[in-house]
Amino acid sequence: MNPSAYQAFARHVNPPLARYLALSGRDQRFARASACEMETDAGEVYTDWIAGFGSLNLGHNPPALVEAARAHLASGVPNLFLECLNPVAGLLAERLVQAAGPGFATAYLCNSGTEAVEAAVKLAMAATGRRGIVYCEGAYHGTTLGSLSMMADGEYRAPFEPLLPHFRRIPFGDLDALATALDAGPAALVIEPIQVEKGVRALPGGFLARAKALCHDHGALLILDEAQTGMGRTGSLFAFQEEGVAPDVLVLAKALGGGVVPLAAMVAGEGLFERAYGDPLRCEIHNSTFGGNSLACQVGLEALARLASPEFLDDVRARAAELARLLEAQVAHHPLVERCFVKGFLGGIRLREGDHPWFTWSHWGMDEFAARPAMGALLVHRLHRRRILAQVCAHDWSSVRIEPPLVVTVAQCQAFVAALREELDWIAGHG
Amino acid sequence: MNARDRRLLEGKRVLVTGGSRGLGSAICKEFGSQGASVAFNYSNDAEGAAKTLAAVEATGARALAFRASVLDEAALASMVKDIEGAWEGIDILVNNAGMSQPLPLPLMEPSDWDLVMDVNAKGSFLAARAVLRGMIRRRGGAILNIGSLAGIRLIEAPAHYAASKAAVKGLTQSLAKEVARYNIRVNCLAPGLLEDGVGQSLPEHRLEEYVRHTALGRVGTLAEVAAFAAFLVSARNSYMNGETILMDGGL
Repeated sequence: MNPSAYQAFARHVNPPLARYLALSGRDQRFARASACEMETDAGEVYTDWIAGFGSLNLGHNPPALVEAARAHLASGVPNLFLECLNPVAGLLAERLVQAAGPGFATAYLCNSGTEAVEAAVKLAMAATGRRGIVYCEGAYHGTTLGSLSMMADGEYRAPFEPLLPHFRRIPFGDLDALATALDAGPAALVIEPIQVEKGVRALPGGFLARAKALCHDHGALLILDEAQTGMGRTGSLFAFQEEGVAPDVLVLAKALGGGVVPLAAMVAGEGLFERAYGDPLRCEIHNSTFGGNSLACQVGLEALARLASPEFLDDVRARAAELARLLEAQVAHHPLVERCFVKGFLGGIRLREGDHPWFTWSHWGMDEFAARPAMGALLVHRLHRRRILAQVCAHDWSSVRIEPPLVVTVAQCQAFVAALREELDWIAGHG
Repeated sequence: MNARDRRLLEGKRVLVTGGSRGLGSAICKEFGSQGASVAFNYSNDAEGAAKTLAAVEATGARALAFRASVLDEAALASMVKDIEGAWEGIDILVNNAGMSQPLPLPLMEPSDWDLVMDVNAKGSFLAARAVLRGMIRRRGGAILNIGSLAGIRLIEAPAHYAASKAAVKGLTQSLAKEVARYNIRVNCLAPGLLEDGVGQSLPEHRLEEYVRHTALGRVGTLAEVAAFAAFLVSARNSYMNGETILMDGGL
């Protein structure tokens, strides 16, 4: 890739991001990637523990998916079947409905998680005839205006207030608050089984079952956003399967396209699509030009087949168990670590804030971040120096996410945890 | 006011790197006589270190000596920890440890370059970082880097030595800017040729030429530089910061 192309990003895509990456030493020119590794144009290899925020469950450029895309493009099959029967989308929808389990009937296919969330919200409104939506504090469902209306407070939402009306926030995991909110007769509760961006925090055990019951008692739908927790990330194909509580609407994205193509889906329960859009006049009022394009669906079929494989998931669980054991032994009880949570290959390490003045944003010359915790970013920086890509959670800068491709090896897990431990020791010893 | 009250560094806790001989030893003795508790490190010269230790204690001051290289991060951290454990802190750091080799460019190997740059510039960085951790917490202190005329003016000096001392000047400025917010001053003292200094390895005719161009007509003494160093790190020098001061007899 021409070096000037990277400069073009800095000039024409996101200049302040480019400046920050340069300041923090993270402006490498990555040129190649495979499985769990990214390589710069200078040949430096980094291990990826961000995995596209949960999009690269099969690793970078998984050969089978790349080949599926190539073969499909060479086949001459139309990519866009607008106003036509789309067989590839049909196949994918069928497989998704089957994978989601009994009670699911249709899949709306689109291009991104936020699109799928908004599709779910609109479906709920149209199917119930209601307008209100209940969501949880600390959420991150996307940055388009509907999803943004459910965003946690902070810089993501503040510039765009006031957002959509009739969106009501409840404390995370609070059944009493949910019950009160449902009294107002909303269309749905939208929720993530694990709020990744709020520091990787999971719903309390039993919450989903009670929430579903409460929603149904009040005529509302339960919409579960598994854009990041789905597709094997937590060790099951979908996180909800672990509690055995199926939502009315399931949102999938990110790894659904294998990290190769943009692909998302809103999988809906029996009868919902008909209630919302069940006549020729309304059946296309919510649509997407590239939603369900056959290239994306072909790759999605390949990704789903692999990620849903019982053998694959067994292996994921076994390796994830080893990661959990390593974290418990070497990191979880470190004096700097306030909390260490991991489920499957989704985890977060929350750090205690230090008190040394030279480990602050102000000392590092970034006063604009002065009100934010610094330790998470410091750990990310130290890991980056060891060629490990990591990142903090968007709504909790004290937490560093653990989110590798699901094909990460045990050796890579061992190296990662050892590096974590060494860097935590370094920070403790220098601050 | 008695003589004790007039001492420039009364009650201060000092670390001098490279204190076993030469300017470092002179600084240790002077600082002790000015009321400071003096710790120093040395890399090899145990005999010299023992003499410096005795000389500092003879002034009535507390003294500690450590065998530690300024390039050994772990050793520096351990030394700082021991000093802070004994004296509850370090108020002043003098980055004096340094070396030179009389090598013209064609005979200078990359390994020679690395050695001199490491000891003179990197060693100053590592020692400063080791000490600043505590200084910043306590929000106060002073650092004096020993530079050289060779790092500032066009004089005959080995390329790696001149480059390393120019680096020390740059380090002084940058560090002064970064830590001033914690009430810590950083300055650099750049002597010209001194008796018993690194310049003593010059050929005789070069030394004579240098003296001829010096207004005072002589090289400096270790005691003169040590005395000024004491002022530079004292509380009386409260407003000088990021500065490199030449002390060369008027070249």
